Amino acid sequence: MSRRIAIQYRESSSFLNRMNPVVKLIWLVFLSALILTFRDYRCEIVLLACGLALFCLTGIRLSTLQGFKFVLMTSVFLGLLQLLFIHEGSTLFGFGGFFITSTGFENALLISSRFFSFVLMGYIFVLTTEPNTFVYALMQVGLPYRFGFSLITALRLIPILTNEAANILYAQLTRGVVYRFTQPGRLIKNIYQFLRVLLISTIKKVDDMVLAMEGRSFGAAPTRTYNRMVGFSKLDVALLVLALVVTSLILIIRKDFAL
Amino acid sequence: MIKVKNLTFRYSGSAGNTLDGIDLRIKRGEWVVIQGDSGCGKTTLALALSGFLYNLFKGDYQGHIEVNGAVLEEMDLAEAASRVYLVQQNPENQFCTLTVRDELAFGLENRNIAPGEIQKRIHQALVIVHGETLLDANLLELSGGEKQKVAIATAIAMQPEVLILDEPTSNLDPVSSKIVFKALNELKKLSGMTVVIIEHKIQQLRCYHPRILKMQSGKIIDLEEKESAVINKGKRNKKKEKLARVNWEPILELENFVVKRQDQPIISIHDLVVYPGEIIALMGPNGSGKSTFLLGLLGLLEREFKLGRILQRELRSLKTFDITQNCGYVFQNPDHQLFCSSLEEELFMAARNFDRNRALSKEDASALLSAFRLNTDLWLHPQQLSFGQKKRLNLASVLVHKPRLLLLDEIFIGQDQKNIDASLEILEDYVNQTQAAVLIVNHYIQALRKHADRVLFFDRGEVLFDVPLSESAKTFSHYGLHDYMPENEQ
Repeated sequence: MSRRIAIQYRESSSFLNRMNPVVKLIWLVFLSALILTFRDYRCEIVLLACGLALFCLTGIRLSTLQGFKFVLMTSVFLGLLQLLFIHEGSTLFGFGGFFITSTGFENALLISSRFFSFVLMGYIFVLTTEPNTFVYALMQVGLPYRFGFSLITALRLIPILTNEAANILYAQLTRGVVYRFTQPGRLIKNIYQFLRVLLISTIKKVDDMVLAMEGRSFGAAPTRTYNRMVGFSKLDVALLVLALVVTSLILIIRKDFAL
Repeated sequence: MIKVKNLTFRYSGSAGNTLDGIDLRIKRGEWVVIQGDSGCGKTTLALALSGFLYNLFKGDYQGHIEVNGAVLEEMDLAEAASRVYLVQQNPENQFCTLTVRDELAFGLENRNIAPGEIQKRIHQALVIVHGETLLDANLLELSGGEKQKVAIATAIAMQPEVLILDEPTSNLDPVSSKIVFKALNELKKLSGMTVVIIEHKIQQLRCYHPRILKMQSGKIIDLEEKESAVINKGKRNKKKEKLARVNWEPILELENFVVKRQDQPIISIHDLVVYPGEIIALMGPNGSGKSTFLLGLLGLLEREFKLGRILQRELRSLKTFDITQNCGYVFQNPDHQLFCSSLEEELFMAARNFDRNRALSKEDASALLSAFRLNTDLWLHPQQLSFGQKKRLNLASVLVHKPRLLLLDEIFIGQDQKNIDASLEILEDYVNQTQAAVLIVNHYIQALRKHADRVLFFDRGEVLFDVPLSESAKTFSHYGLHDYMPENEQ
């Protein structure tokens, strides 16, 4: 069986990977706003098609992503709810007490597409944006570096603490701890012990990291230089302008055609 | 030059002085090694020399330190750090970014150094530690030795006047340790930087002719190199009386045993049999699969095998809970396995969970703690113990439920030879009394040579050799693994 692809950054030379993360974030916000703005199912389907086309640029098969089936099922489920419970509009199909109306059908397409489009945008951003580069890019457009490095140290600590948590759990299991839902008192005690050890371990790690950061003059000056520059290419600038133009056009069209 | 005058420090809430009237002079460009027993104040001295103790720690601080004429206590932390750089024991804990390039640049960026200069310094630092190929690597993917190289390169890039390293090789195998020491020697030759290393591995450093200082109970007691060369000489292999193994059933039998992580095979063992009374040294480079093997044995990681038996019971039919009733496991990090709020509770935790040996009295518990040189109140919180004491408590707490197989994963890191010997003596008695067997992961055979029976050497996920201790020196030599041999046999 082929392995599922985790929802995390994947190195690639795709156009999306090369985009400045800040520009990508602006596009993400812009597209998300569009998805929420439209109330016409045809527009949502067009946006979904655009999202799918963008996703193709990542070079990843959507069906191989971890959790994809769940997302698909949720999307279908949300659509089914609209079909079953919206009874306005003309009847398209009926059987006994059950019938599907045109409004229910359109709403099903709208909601399912909207949900799926949102998830797609998230997938595209996470799969093509290296978190470290993203934070550096944010710092270089004005995010105070103290906030930026809180994000970077958090990113650094996540895999370390995941590993620590596994070790602590193993240590409990080797000493006869069994997690049983049938014994809630014992279960709570075991969870408390686990969390206490994890907390102590985390505090020690953070203490060491503070020493390491202070020892390298972190916070000593109000500004800092950057060896890693996350620049804006001509394409990035063009995409920013495009975002502005498309937003303006859509606002005009929407006003005129009430989509 | 570093001048330390009458330096005394007592941590807030502590009864005694951790540093006790230290007077010390270190010349510019000198390479100094500080050794001493666990808990004698070495790390506190390192924190003092780097300015952290005065600036960040609560306690009673007396005396003063001068670095090249400037008084350390009169500087703020940023200034002190620009003169003296401290590399901590675990490099993993001191990285602040995600890639080697960002890590090396981090401190320089904080000092507002221009990118062009940063790149020059990064290149120079990596050349000194022979780590040029690591430049674009992700820190999480580096081996232990590579991480330590990056930590040292980070220090070099900062161009401090003094570099202090707190047990930089404690988690490393002998080959990686040697690479780190070579890199430091290269640094000394090229830059003339003053280097202070806190280190137990004096033998490996001796060829670089450092000045060796010894600390004891917060004092520098010996400024001349006198004794370290004779450590363990004359004690060689006082072989114990072995248990007669005739007709004894094996404790562990494995055939075609493979342990996986994320579906990938990490370690593969063709066949292995462990008999009662055996103490087996499990050796091999960092990342060779030693810990993975032990976790797989307990069913904590995915494994496949043709034959697997523990105490004649099929491994396939046993859950982790069943296996651990007869297998005691001690992990590398003592803090990961201290779950209770008193020493007594900690000692009895596994026994209570397994419903075994409940008859053990408080007197027995006190006696067990004393045997492990833990002469403290049973109601003390385990987190109040020192690092070495925690490690000994971990070991004591797995013996109470009388497991027949002990799996000990690098439990001697940060322990001095006196404590290692004391622990091994107890283990040997335990093995003789209970007909148990022990698998000890350790990088240095020197520490185990009075007690081990066999050496099982892992390399790249396979057993390279499995030989009696008496043949280990010859076998190490045969495979060109000279760094793993005791110094006097290399």
